[in-house]
Amino acid sequence: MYRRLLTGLQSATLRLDVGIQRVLPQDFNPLYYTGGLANLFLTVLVVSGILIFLYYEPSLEGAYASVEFLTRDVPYGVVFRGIHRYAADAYMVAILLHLFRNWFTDRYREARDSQWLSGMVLLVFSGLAGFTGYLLVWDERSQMLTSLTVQALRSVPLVGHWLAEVFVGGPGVSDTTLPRFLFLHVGPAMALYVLLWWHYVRLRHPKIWPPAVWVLFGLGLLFILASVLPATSGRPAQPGASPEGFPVDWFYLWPYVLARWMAPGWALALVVALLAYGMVIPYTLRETPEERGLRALGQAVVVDENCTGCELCYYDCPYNAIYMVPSPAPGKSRAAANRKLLAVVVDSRCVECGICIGACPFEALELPRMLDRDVQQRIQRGAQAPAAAAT
Amino acid sequence: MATKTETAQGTPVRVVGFLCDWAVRSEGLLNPDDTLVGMPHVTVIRVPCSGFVKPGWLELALRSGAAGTFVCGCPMGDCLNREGNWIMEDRIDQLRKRLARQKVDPDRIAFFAYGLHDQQAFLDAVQAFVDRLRALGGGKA
Amino acid sequence: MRGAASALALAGFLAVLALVCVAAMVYGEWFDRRLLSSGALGVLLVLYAAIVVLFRKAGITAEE
Repeated sequence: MYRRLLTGLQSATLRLDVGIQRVLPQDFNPLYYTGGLANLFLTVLVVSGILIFLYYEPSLEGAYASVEFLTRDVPYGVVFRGIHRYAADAYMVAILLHLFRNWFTDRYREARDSQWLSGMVLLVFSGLAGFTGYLLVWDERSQMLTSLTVQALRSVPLVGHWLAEVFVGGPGVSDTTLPRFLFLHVGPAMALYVLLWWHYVRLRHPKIWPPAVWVLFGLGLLFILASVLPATSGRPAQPGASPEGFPVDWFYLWPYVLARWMAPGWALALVVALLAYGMVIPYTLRETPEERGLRALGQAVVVDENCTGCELCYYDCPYNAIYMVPSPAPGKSRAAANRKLLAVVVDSRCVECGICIGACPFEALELPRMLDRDVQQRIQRGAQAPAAAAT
Repeated sequence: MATKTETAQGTPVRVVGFLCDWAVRSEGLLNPDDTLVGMPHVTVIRVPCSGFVKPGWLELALRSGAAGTFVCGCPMGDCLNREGNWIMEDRIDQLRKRLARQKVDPDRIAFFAYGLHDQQAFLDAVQAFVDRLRALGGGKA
Repeated sequence: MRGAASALALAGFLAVLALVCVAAMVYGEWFDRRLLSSGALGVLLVLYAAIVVLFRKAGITAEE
């Protein structure tokens, strides 16, 4: 049932591409660059964030006023603030598209689980950086979010009160609170770059930037949104006030909407459960390749006697699964007699795609169940066979 | 369609193609002997990724008597293995230049990029390719 | 030769456009119409994206 659903979703995802390609050239399809788009918006966030940071004052009295000063009196401050806000939303849209597309098109299985796991951790940190951004303004919404978060953290068993105190920096909101929020906003954002290293480390030539057309469109969209719907603050936070509601950013604040129907602690538990499920997705379907309808051709094998150490496979392997090591002994073939290096396939990273076989001009790599010899025979049969009776 | 290409010139052009498992859905596209439905002179070898194809194999197909050979990968940018089709397109470009020096018409090699749902477009492209080959004349052997 | 001339023309056009953008930003700040001029900038960028797509569809690319 679950598998049928996934197959259907895969089909639908690729059907969507067919529609997009009626309008746009193949390699302009935005859905092929969701990761690059996320990176574009993250860059915009960092740049605009630094500009905002220069004006921000993390104190109970000064925070709201400093944001207002930025919005009113700094040249184009309102635009930068808007761009920062909408880039955050666009970033979340891009990474969610990235997540679902790679999920539905099977690009997370087996050797690629490292990218999936780092992606989930990136999602956690992005969400954290996103929602703490709404705390920094220190208007009524910030106040409400803070009190809901404290309630949710307090209901965590055993360590709840301690967590809540760590969060606001003391038994209650004080002047230590906003510097802490500022760190919780900027710290995870910095951590994203460390996590991105983990995200990219197994990829050769990661596509980290979308084509020019989407850079232009993305930036243009941010400018338009920031001008048509300028980002604003609510009323300033008042100690002891209990505001009724707040405008919701659905991409970051949806767990707080849940708090309307359930205890904040349960909303927190739900978010944690969702993310935990996300982490185990690559391990939920442990089927054999046959059950998935795939031909298991086996992981690439280096033919020791033919390898010349030329590194071509090493450069083409999309997952960095091939390492060049100092050759322990010369190869047998004439070309391989003087080699200095030998290719080695790291089994845990190989996805059995065979791109290294296409790269190798020396017949030094094979997929065990689709040998070069057999392919050659089939080619010759196909090229020479007498014309079969027309159907 | 098949009968048309064969009767038009008397000698049918033989084509060997490579089809990525993840590109065009191959169910209902292939006869039991791996030829294309409706085009029995086109043999298709399914490969795990278009990047698996060695340029030497394309050369071998031409030398063994095929009039032309093609590789079909996923839409550019959508390779399951991230860049197999870009790599293959590059390799084919280089192979074309090499073959041109050996007086083999580079048009005998084609690269297609079609997704899961593009069966008809794929068949049309192969048909157009076969027609072009017919204009070039049969294979070497 | 022709390529160099058209590249120069394009570079010149882009430079003029950049100056227009700067002028628009200064105008917006001066007459308190920040949102108007930044919105116009956004529209311009989106139009640029559309131009890239149209060029591509018309077969005008960087290759050759």
